[in-house]
Amino acid sequence: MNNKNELTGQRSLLDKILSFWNEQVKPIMLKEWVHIFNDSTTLRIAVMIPLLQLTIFGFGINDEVRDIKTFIFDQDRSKASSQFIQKAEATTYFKIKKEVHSKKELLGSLVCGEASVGIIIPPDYSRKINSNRKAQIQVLIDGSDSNISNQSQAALEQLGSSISRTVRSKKRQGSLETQDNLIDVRSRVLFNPNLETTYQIIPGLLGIIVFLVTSFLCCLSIVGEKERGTLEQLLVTPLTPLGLMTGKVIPYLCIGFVDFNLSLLLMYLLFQIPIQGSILLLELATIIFMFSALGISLLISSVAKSQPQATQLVFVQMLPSILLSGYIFPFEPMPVFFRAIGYMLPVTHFIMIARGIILRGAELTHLIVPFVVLIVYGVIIFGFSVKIFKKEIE
Amino acid sequence: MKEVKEEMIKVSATKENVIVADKLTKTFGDKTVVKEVSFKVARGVIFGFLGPNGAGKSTVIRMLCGVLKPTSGTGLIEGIDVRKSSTQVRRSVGYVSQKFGLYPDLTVKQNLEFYGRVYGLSDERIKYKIDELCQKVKLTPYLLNKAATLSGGWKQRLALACAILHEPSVLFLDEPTAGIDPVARREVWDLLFDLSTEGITLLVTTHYMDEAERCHRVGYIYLSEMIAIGSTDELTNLSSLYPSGYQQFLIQAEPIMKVYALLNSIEQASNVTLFGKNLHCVLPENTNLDQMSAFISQNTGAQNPIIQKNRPSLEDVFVILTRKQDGKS
Repeated sequence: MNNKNELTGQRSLLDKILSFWNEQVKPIMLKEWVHIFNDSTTLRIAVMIPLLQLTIFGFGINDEVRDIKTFIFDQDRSKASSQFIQKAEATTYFKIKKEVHSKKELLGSLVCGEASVGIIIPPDYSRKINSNRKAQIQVLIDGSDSNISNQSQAALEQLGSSISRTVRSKKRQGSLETQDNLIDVRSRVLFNPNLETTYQIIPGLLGIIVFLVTSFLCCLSIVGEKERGTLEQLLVTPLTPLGLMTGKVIPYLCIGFVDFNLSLLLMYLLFQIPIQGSILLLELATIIFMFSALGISLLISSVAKSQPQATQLVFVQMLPSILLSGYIFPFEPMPVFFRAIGYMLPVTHFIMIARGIILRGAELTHLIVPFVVLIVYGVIIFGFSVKIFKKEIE
Repeated sequence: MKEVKEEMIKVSATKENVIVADKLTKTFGDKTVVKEVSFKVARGVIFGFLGPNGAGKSTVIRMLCGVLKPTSGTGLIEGIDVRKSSTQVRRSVGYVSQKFGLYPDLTVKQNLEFYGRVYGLSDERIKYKIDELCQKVKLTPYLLNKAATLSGGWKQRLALACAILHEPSVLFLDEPTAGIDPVARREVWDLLFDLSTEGITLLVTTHYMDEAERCHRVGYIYLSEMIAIGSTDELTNLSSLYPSGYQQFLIQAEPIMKVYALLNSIEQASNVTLFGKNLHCVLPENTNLDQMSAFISQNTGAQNPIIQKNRPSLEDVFVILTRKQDGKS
């Protein structure tokens, strides 16, 4: 007995991993591939979901916008400029998140998605207003969400003219020939200059497609083993729960990955949306994201007793992912409670990354927060689901 | 004391008893599913495990396979403690479930290959074993057919082949013949006897009494407790079956239904059961058979009723034991 223990102790980590792969993961994985190619439904679902979703959801959905994340670069720092800022907030369209001190900083916050709108007040703003000359306010708008940019553009222009009117009526200097606005709001839409709704929908849809395909197919496969009684059989073999699950999950990781790239291609061909940032970074984010998705599907398959039940559960948990992730409805106007739920969903963070990379050309440094969140979610959810699965089996 | 006892169990297990259960107990919450079940099975023996659904049979099997940890008590397979080295135990047992555990969309060959890989067999070994086993269970012509297309009996053979590919020394079969036709049933049993002569120890659960009678030894579990163990002969001769001074008799008479009603109405007779044109009933050992015969023909008009002493069947034994146990609790 002692000799045996010493021997196993001497096995290197690499050996252990290799034997785990060969004896645990590989048999299950190979079998799963045969299932997938045997069952044409699985393949059809894998292909049809991205096709259908992309064509159906290509339409935009409009909704009222509130509390747009706004950054201010106030170079004037006068009474008049702070009045403008107050009035802007009073419209309820804008929520001033931060004051920055350079144009570069402002641009950076827009690229990483911290801000949706950046307002630049020039140093001579109050001077010009007071001397009844035209003052320019420059506004930078993130166009990745066409809804937000449309409405913020309109709101700011309206604000400009309404302030002009009050200033004039106070000073009673306005004569009829100077109908022109005192304040000239010049807005520039970044990233999606034509304000296409599809620009907003499609990158978010990528997340939803990956989520749906991987979690749905994987879940069905595991619950199927339960129904057929083969899971019972596998449990009396030397397979460990971890090996069993890893072998089950890898094929669906691959399918999800292929689906994602298929959708990217369709996005480019159907909607002519170019990818501004690094595709590699996007692919990396997808792989990380899929661990959370598969973890959730494992949790569902631990709970569900039959395939119909599993299907229902998958769709029930898809609902918040579609409605609260910022995929269709913008995040800002949601009540705090729902926003909190939205932040708890992995898909929310993936959509942030996808929009950042595809529309704004964001880099890893800009997206470090959602990346870290996704990794943490992946580890927690996957780890937790392995535990639950193990318990469920016993 | 306790250590000495454990040591003894181990020694005896490695000598001859391949399966040893010693006061195996499993509780889920406050519900006891298996209560102090003990038995031993020697190498090459077919052990029939009987009992109504929900009595705890499957739980005992799952504990002995190393899937479920016993709450208390010991289970040994080939002298290995199921609690301590469940992986080692799983390598030396095979398991055929009621649901067969086959993948319907995989071919016969793919199913076999899969289970071979799961048990860590090399590719060459798998190939060799598939050849050997398919000849034995005559599956060779169906190798490339999908498992879903096989009929019940052939599915059963495939399940059996999958379960013994890794050459286990113990094979657990959970109702292996439920729902298959008598010819296939006979063939499966022939295979089981082949395996037992090869030295594989089998534990078979079944509801069929004729199958139970084919087993070398039988254990009967009821309400989580093992209430009888022994060979068919031993069980049907159990002295504790009937109250002392009583015995089972077989009565042949026409019209049998009238006799049935009559016997049920008299105090000396109990356990009156119909078997086609015969009936079994329990009467005092010293019953005067001629007087009884006359009594029956007088009251029912039956001509020359035949009354003789009868050995109880295994079914009788289990019914009696079950009723006794119910009476206790």
